[in-house]
Amino acid sequence: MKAFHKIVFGYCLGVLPITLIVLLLVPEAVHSTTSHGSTLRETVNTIFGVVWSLWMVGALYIAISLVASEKFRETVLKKVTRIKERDEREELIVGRSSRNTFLFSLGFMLFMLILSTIQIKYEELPPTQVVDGKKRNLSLGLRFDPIVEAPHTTNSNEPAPKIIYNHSIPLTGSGTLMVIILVQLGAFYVYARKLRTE
Amino acid sequence: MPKPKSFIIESRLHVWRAEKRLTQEDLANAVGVTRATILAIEKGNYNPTLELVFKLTRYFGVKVEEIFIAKEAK
Repeated sequence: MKAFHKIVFGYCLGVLPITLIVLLLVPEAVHSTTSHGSTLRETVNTIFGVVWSLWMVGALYIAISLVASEKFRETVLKKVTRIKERDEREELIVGRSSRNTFLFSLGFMLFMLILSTIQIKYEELPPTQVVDGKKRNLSLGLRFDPIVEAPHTTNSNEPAPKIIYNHSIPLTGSGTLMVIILVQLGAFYVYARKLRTE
Repeated sequence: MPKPKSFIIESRLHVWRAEKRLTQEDLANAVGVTRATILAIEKGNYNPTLELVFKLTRYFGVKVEEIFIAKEAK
């Protein structure tokens, strides 16, 4: 790894926990208004501002390097995934584990995709929408939204149905990506460990 | 077309190693692999590549068949 990469990586890894701890311990140091704050508070605020800005630039630089630089990716991700390729047997283990991980994560993502498209809604209708004495409505459907749409605004003054149950995956875009990364890391680690002990 | 026969490779590596009074670690260092690989070969859990097979046979100064025995699978 290049010396510059090492410095940026070390800074991002080291500074984040320190800053988070300080933020948790003294939140008012950053959140309070600077105009009426003390000189010390203003100084702390400025320092945190610089530290955070540098951290953000560093994190972005690392993210780009992970995609663009093969050497950097190899060095960093080998450590994260605990890949050991000291001889031919370990290379075989890494290959088989990668294959198994790829198939497992593909299966997992397909499962998540299907789960996200299935729509189940159980709602209680307002008195004005009751048809033939049926007060509750169960709707089943399939929905595939590849892009996020702007929320629909309704001008109707009619009362909306009260939703009793609405099936949806409670994950944001970042949450979903995080789950996929963790599943991949976990699966690779488990498969590699299993093959190594066989 | 008849199905080709499959083989089970039996290793006599532990015998040759014992004869030379070598530890698994010594042999692993001599042929450039990890101790776990030597252990896996001896237990029959791993079939080495041709390169490693030749390294082992040259190290012991024997023929391939003297270390690895191919038995027809039932």
